[in-house]
Amino acid sequence: MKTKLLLAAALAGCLSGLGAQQFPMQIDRLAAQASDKIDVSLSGSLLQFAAKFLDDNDPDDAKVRKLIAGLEGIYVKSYSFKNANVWTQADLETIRRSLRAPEWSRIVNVTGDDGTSEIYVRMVEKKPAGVAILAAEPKELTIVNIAGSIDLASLSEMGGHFNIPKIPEKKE
Amino acid sequence: MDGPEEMDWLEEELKRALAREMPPRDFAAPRRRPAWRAWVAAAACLAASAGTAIGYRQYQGREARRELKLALDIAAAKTSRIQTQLREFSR
Amino acid sequence: MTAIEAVEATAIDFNGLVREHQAMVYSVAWHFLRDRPLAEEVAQDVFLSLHRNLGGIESSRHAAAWLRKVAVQRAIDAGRRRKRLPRLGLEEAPEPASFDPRYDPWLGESLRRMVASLPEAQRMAVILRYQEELEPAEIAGLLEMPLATVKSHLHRALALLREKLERRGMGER
Repeated sequence: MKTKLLLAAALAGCLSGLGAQQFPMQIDRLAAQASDKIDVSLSGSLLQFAAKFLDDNDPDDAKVRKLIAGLEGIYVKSYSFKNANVWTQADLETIRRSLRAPEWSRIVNVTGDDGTSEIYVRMVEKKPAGVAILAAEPKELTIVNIAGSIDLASLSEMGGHFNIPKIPEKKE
Repeated sequence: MDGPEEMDWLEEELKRALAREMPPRDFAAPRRRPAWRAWVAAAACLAASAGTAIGYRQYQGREARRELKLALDIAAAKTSRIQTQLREFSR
Repeated sequence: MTAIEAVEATAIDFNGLVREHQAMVYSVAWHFLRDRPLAEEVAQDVFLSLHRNLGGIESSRHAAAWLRKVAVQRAIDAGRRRKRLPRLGLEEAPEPASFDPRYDPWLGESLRRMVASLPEAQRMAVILRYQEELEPAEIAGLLEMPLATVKSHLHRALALLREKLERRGMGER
């Protein structure tokens, strides 16, 4: 797999939040063709409401509470397709158009034969205010928009939270 | 090979060789569920069946919590995958 | 059942389904890919999909069929995406110090490696036939190919395995 990597900043680190952000995440054409769709939209008030039902005696819930403490919103759209090559570069450009400078900066871009993965950081008054993830695989397209303060390193450790197994570390 | 006919020795050996194995890590490791949660769930059921606003709010809250966990799991999976790709590239 | 009981039941059912079917899902991926970390990743992906689609699962039997189909698809996809296939030539299989037809500890491992080196379609057909013990008609439905094609794949795979075993002195007892 040829991998082209552009790394502009470290992946881990805390980002302080200053305001919620929204960008167009719906691609109607893909939604119509998807065999499976996930659409989660949790604004600030809904996040706070959900947090009230977290169980502090449960270690997993406690981790979630800590992770979302500075969040102002989390939005996920994920489309799965029966066949490959349903999404196109034009679809990705539709998303990328909303994630441009000066407000957004792409800090990670991994491109290979099995798709593209990108992470963007939103800056407000020269301070980080949110994260967007664009993950395009042959039979799946996922867009994540996280508004507010989030620790990406802690987030990547959260896999396996709701009894969905973690992605295992590749063994040497 | 064709259904109910008796399998020959190679087919029997293939069945043995390809027997299912448990994954190295148990995906279904039991989660700790404090007993009082079941009690609260039962109490909430009672409230819901009586048609009170409290029961419905509980239901809404659990749904919101479920959505939150799903969103975080997906975000975590994608972030973790990117980290793995970066690690592989830097080798 | 009240709405809250339904929410609780959904969480319980998912755990139960994972517990019941993780060996099947993992083994399809493992025997097909011969790469344990990749097989685990595929299995995780399958159960994540199950979680997403839990509302559409009608029964335990439906879940088993659904999981098997998705596991097959994802394993095949992962195999195609992989940089290098584990083309374990027969010369890499351990030589038996002596061949005792009553007990050959190497035969199972040799067979697993030989199966892993089969062409994709034959490999999956063999796994579904001998790991999952599906009938050829069931395999045809799952792989969305004609029954005759499945039978041909199985026939050729067995012939190839038999030939390789005989060349290595591990022939029919």
